Amino acid sequence: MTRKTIRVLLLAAVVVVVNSWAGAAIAAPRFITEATITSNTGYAQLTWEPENGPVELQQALDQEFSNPQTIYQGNNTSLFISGLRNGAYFYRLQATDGTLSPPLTLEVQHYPLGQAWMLFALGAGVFAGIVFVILNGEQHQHE
Amino acid sequence: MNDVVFLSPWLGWVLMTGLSGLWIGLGIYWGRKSKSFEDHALAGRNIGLALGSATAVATWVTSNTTMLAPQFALQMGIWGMLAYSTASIGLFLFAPMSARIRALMPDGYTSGDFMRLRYGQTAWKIFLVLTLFYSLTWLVSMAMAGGILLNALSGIRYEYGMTVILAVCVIYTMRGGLYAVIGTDFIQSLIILIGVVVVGFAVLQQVEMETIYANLTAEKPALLDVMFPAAIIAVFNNLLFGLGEIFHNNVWWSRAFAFRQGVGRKAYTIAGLIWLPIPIAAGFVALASGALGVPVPSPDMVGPLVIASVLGEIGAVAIFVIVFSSLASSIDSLLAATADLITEDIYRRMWRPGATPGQLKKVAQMVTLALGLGTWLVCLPRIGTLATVLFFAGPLVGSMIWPIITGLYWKRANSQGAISGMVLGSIVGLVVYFQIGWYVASLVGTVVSMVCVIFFTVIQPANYSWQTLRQGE
Repeated sequence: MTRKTIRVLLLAAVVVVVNSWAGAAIAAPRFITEATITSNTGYAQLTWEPENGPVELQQALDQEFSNPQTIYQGNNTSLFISGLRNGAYFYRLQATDGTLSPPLTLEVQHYPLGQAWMLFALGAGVFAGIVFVILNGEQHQHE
Repeated sequence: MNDVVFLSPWLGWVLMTGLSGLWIGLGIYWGRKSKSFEDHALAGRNIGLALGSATAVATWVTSNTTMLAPQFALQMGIWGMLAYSTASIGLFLFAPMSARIRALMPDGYTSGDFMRLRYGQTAWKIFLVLTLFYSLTWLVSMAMAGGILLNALSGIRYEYGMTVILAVCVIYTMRGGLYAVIGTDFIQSLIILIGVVVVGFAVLQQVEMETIYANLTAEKPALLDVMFPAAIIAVFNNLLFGLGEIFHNNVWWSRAFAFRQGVGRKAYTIAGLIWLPIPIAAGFVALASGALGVPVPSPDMVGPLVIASVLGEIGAVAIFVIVFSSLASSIDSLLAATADLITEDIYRRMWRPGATPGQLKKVAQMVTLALGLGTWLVCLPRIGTLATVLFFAGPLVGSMIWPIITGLYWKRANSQGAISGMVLGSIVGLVVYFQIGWYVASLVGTVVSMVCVIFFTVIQPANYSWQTLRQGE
């Protein structure tokens, strides 16, 4: 093997290594959850694949992320969000080199209030019945 | 990986070793009076007011109180916080029930005894299946919580933390029975109460209420909404879940039998009053997370995250001690009460009616060991979140409320109502659990059970003699 051949092989190896590093660096961060998730409670847990460095999680109210808000920065791989009202919320991750993840959509549609109050009333009725049985039983237990 | 480790593993191990030694030492010391099965299971039926109140508080302050109450607040805001605190109503309502239980069954041992004598063999066996499922679920969720929390707080591996907390409780519960459980509960309740008060004030020192309110309004507005549908639904679901847990489970019945005459009513009332503010304080901590800039990777970790963030290493030590104490105070009670239930209702009633008190005590000790080993095996793989594991049992316990309360107070209540109530309530409640969600499952299970019990009471009223309960056979 001549010196020239060795140089060529070394150069090729360097190119391969550099390319693979570059490939790793430009791999976009990704959510593990599905592209669109729904919630009827106003809360959800967003999870993403571990990165080599910190990520920034952005939230926006439109698909174009015209006014994104950073809601987390760091090395964690999940964030619990809660207290959201009805509507669509959009999320994306940004790696330190600026690459962005595909967006994730969270659609919040709370249970109908009428249904909630109906169940509340049902629960209150059952509870009142339980209290009545106990208190009434206490009053008449010596009969 | 999420960055949620606050103590170095060596400090975690030091704390865990010290607390383990303390509980085992105290448990063995207090348990030296345990000679027979009655001593082991019921502490000689002579527990006074101070120990009685403390054991009820400590048992009901589980790791779920210190961890799930903040989770509820983070998920459902103010309503969620109130929903969790309604669990204290179970203690208030059990106060008169415990006096009734003691009066009706002065020589009773377990809640299973009551179901067998009141409703017969079939209802008793169904009850045993449901209550054992619930007790084992609770036990598994506690042990899992122990491993997860100790790992998150100090980096101690999940398997090690879970193993140690289980082993410690098994050792002193086997040795000292209910004497050891109630004695350690007294110290543990003091540690928990002091810890929660100190932590609550420390958080308030760090951030003002106005800041918390402004943060919630801007970032989590639904948490302040009075009209929060899921939270509105959850209020009575959670309340009924708590009632079902307390009304049926031998953890509470064994204490009703163990308390001195006249103590139960006062002890459970005092315990309810002491317990009530704990989930509110713990929930408040979670609502402050946004204002304090604490990111929450997983909702069941919000409490430790905020406390450690505010108080640093001292806070992390405090939460470690509180969590370890609350875990031990619940796991030991569950081990003891479930072992007694299996010994009395399965070993003695189904297998060896002529067993001596000494034999029964030995069996109870072996069952405690077996429960610990079984729980350990189930917990080795980490499955599910704390809430998911626990709430799976919600409809089952809800379905037992009406059979229990009407069995205690209505002569006309009968076995058809109890059986159909427990079976249909559990089945329909579980279907709802999977089709809709945990936050309606207990409610639906209770409603179905109530309808069954009332229907059969009206259609086929019994005329039960309370003397049957007093005589024991």
